[in-house]
Amino acid sequence: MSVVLSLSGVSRAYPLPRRRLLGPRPMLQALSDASLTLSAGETLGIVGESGSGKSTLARLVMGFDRPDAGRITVLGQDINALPAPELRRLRAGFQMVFQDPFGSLDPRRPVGWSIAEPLLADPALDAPTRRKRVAEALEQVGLRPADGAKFPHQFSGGQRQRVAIARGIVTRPRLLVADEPVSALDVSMQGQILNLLSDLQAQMGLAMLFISHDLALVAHQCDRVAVMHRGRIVESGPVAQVFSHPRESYTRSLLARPETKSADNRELVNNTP
Amino acid sequence: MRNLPVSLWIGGALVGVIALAALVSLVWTPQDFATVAVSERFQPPSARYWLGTDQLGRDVLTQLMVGARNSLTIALVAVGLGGALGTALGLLAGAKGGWTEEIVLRLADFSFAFPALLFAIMLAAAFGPSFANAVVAIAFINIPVFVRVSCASARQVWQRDYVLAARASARGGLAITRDHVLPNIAAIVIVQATIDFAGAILIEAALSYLGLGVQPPEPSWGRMLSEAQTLLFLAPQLTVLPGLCIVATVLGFNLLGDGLRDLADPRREKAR
Repeated sequence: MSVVLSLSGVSRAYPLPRRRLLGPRPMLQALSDASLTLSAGETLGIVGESGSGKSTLARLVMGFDRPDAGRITVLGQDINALPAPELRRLRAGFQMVFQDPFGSLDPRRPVGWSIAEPLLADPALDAPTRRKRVAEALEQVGLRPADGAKFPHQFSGGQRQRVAIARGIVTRPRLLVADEPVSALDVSMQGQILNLLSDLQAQMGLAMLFISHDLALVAHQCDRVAVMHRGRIVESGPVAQVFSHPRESYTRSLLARPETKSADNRELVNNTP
Repeated sequence: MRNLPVSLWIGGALVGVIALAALVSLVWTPQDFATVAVSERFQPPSARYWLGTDQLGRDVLTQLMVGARNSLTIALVAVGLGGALGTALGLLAGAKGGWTEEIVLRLADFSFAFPALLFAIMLAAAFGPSFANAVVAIAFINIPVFVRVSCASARQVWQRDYVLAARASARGGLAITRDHVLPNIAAIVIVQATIDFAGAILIEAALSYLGLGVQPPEPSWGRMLSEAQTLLFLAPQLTVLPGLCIVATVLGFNLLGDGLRDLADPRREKAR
């Protein structure tokens, strides 16, 4: 199987505010020496508590930020060594679905515009072709093509996440990064969105990087899993193996904690504006 | 129509009346504004002179109407220029961040340190008093306000997930600024412009009062005040009327700005 994403020895530290006026700036090691690979059609789960470096990993993979050290290879290209125009062309191949479907869609744009946005980079696609692709993507996520004219506030949270997924797949990417894609949704919606992601993945042969703090979701959704703790990948392997025979004491303690299984989803749902 | 803030109604009405007077003065005024007729001075209100005449026999209503036109024109052009330039700089700073933002914001702080009115007086004094220089002076002191407001709002927008999604879609900084940042900060900038309009009217009146703004024979509320102040006890209406016009316009734009802000931000609605 072809490797879609690989990280080798990736590290990133962020400066924190100075504790004293002229003191040194303390650094937060958000990610240290992370290595992983992801092949076509496969789902790799990234689990860990908040602050464990999961989202930093997503930011680096998407090229929103650069690593201090290490190499990130997406679709065979080192995204941090690639000249800007070539990176722009490559971007159609890897897309992202964000946690909060309220924040990831521009409130001032009809959702059809937002879904078409990733297509604007390709000069070969004219406006009618873009419209056709948007309509296709809307149907693929279970919405009607006419819904493209609506604005984000006219949708429920679950529908918005469908819109966000439509934007994620409209370029027919080979890698989808999903950062907590269902944690802002209520439980009945979560199942629908997860099934949608699985279906799309099967149809399109997508590789998915599935980031979540919810072990039950990861166990259900993923083929392999990497457990993160304080910026390090402490353990990784097939889901069945890691979750039933964890080698690391941290993984064992994470599995033993009831609150990491599903309970704190409720909190997130309530916090949704 | 329903649920519009009360301040929007009152502000809109005040501004509407003044703007209407200014617009009407373009095509019709009761008398010619420059005609001096000393024999007709200090006339009481009559069918011919609706609000009476001043110490030189000029029709007060005409002076007020053309004064409204001059004030609003100066404020519109000045706030428009300063707002466009300031917003452009603020968007640039918000998009680039880092050193660019630091330099632009420190320059804005630096120009904030000058009292706005004194700065306008200095510019008008240095380059000569004229309509155009008053516009430039007021535009200039408006720039830093818009830099601050637009930069702060733009930075917030740049941190939103939909901007990250746009970056993942290979959109460049200019496209993101045009397609996402500007539409999302437009409401805030428009509110700011409305409130700054009131300030611009005041500064124009102050400059004209000092003889550094609109030049005779063009009438201006500020100069009407200064010309009539020695006659305060003889003909109080000559100072009270332009004074009321200034107050009504400034109040109107402030209320309008408050109302628009309530409208743009539903969370504030309960506080009105």
